[in-house]
Amino acid sequence: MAKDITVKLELSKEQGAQVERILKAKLKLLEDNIEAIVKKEVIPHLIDLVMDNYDKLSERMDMLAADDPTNPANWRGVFKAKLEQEATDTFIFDRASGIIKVNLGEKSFLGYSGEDTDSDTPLVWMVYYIEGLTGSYAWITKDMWQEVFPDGQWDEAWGRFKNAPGFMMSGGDFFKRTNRAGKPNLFRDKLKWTEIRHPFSAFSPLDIFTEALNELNIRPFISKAVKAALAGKKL
Amino acid sequence: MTATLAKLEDMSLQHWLKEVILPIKWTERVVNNPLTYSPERERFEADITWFPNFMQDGRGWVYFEAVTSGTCIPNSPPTAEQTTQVEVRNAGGGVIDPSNYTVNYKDGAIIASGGTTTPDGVPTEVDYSQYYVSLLDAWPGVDPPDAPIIAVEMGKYRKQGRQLGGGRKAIRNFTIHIFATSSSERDDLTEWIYDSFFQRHIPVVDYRDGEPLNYDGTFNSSYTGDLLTLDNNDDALFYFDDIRAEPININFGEMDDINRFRSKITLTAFSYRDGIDFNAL
Repeated sequence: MAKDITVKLELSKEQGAQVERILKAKLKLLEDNIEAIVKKEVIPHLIDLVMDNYDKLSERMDMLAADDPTNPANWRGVFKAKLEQEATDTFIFDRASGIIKVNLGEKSFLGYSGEDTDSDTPLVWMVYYIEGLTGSYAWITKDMWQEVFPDGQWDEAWGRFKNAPGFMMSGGDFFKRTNRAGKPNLFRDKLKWTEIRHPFSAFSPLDIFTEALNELNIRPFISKAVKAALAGKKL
Repeated sequence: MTATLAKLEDMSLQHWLKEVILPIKWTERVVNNPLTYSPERERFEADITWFPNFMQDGRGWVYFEAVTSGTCIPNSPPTAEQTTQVEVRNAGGGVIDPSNYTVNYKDGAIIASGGTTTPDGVPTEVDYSQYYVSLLDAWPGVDPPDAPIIAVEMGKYRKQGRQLGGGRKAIRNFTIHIFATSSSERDDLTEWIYDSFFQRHIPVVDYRDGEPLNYDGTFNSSYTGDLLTLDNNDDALFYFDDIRAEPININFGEMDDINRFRSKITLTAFSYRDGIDFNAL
């Protein structure tokens, strides 16, 4: 493509001012169109790509009970709404530099921060699925715990959801636990680990955001915005 | 069997970490370790006195001489079996000549030339260097070895033509997952591995005639470590770019867990090859 071409036009002062106004208006229309297409089409498309990758977790979801709080199928709508809200809240178009910025998948809501969160934000569980979880884990409920440890020792603070009905624990850690009298736990007599083992344990990472970004092709959207601007059409 | 460039490049990266990078700082010297004869396996086995256990997946004993830091030249990966890392002694403390035994580096065992003894006496003690870090070629899975672990995964890759002439550029994505025993160890290991890729390239070694260790853990005496030579008689090289390191904080509350101190390094590795034939070598 040719660059740095200088064209000299012989115009009157009035004609020059008119051309300048036309060019400024055209440029503004182009910028408006780009902003509009990014907001209306690119970001929803990117969110759809993230959700497509989110749904790839489904083969693992199928092994979880429908009412299991760690089942991402239960949070699909919440997750998508959160992404859409983030896109709205963080969208920046710096017209001087031509840079568009938008943050999707901010890490604290995905559970990367060390702090526990309340029970209505189960999305903190996403970190385990995005980054993978090596080893063998089970979702231990209070009932299960009390079956194995009849003398108690259940701690409401365990886990990542406040007031959650259970928490995640590794097999090694669980087997090492003793009861109040220091006796080994009765796990093997009461429950089979294979029956309570979390289907996501030992699964490798699935970075749904990077995968989506790799699949995103923004060029056709920008071409559409440019063509519309050339035709004087506002998107 | 067909060998492709992808396989040899993936193997070369893993061997390079295992045989060049980790022995510089991430091995442990164990001395005066008692040997016990196992009649079932017909070998002298070292007691596991240090943890993590060298018998675990991805560990074992060091089988090359450690490359001295600062001389980590990409074109000279080690080829000859160690001569100073393992020392076997008899009951009187005399050193048994290495020609009188074979080392099983995977299991940490000595196979004496005379079965239960050697011309220099019965092996009773051994000194060796063991891998502190387990290096795995895939995601650790259900039953991982103890931390620290480095797991190397080759991910998506693609190829593109050169701008001029025939030939292809292969662009491969790698993720290196690090599992440590503490946050400080995670930081050390992560930066160590990061720096081992930063502004570097490695030669691709021709493993078509075998790897340094045999399947049974003994050293492959026919191993030459020859570099892979491509169609144009150039050595095959593997370049690294866009290396990123990221600690991963996964909260397990009060639970002690292998996933607690993690990080990952992602990088793009690329190589060039002439010709337009299939990628079989």
